[in-house]
Amino acid sequence: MKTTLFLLPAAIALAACASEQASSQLKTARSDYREAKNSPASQLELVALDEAQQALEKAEAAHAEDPGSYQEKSLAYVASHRARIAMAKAGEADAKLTVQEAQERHQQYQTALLEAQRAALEHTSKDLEQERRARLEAEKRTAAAMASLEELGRVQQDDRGTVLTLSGSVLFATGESELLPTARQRLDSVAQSLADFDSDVTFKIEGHTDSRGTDEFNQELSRKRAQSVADYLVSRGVDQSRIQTVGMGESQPVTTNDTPEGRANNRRVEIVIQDPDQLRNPMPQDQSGIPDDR
Amino acid sequence: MHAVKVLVPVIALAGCGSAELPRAAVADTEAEIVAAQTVGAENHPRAALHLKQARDQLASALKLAEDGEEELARMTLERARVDAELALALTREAEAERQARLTLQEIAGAEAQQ
Repeated sequence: MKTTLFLLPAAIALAACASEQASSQLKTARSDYREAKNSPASQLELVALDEAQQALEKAEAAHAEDPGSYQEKSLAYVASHRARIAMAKAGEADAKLTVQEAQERHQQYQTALLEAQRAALEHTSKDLEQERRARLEAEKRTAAAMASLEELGRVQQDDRGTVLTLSGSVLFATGESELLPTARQRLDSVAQSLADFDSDVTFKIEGHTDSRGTDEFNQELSRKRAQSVADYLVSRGVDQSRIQTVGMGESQPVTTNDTPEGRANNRRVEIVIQDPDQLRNPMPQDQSGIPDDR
Repeated sequence: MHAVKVLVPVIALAGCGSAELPRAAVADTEAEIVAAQTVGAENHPRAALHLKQARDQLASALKLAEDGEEELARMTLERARVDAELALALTREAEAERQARLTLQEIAGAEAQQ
């Protein structure tokens, strides 16, 4: 190999001296060999390039011995082909290398993509877990608040929300809208329970009277009583922005006004607890559970 | 098919002993021609040209040997051999380049969808 490498420049130099007699085949062989030597074959196909070089040396030797001979032309033909074989093999190797590199890059891309997806999934999973825990905590707080409300008065569900009914006789003297001292202790407990609800839950305080007295008087009395309860709850820490008051007068009795017991039940304050989640997803009225789209 | 055709005169020549072409060299050339055919050299214009030259020169070599032109026959056989090798190399190069283009397109398509 070293010998041939050493001899080739000398052979080419000798040939150059007699270049006028070099056959076209030999000139082509020299050109093809130079091209192969400057191509990727010099990196990728050393064996094939060496075979081309040896073939060219034989052609040059034949030329030196008998310029323009059939042997020179035939060997030059072989040398030219050997150079082109080396280039074609290098082309094949280069193409395969390109595929290999592209596949490796694609594999890295896929790995990075999977890693990103895994990280995103993990992140989402953590978010969902935090949300689930927060929801559980909120549900626990709501359940505890509801349980405590049930100790303070009658609790029922209707289309307005959860309704806590406080007896008017416990809260107010007849015809008055100022809270009785004994009412304050009960309302302290109510305030504490209301504070346990989520911050997006609001409270509507409705005052109701029996039918004795004029409508105007009862309307005004019920409004003032609702406002008294609201003011007290605010003084006990319930956020004012969450409270709405309304006087209903005698318009919505829960029972007859013809008996003392009935009138006592109609004199009341109702605290309607309005949970946006509950209002958004009310229990279906239709037992089939199929929503009415009309 | 051509390789099969040329086998008959080779065997005939060997039988009568009138040629000095080395059997191994002829067999190697025929094997290169078959290999080039097998990988589809006839589907690539440049490779197909060299494949034809390989077949023609192999036939010429055998004829020269039959005529007693031993040296010319040997050189012609060598030329047939390199033409067959070149046909094979050019076909493999073209197929590898086609495969590379296909793979790169597939990868680009897959990455574009992701």
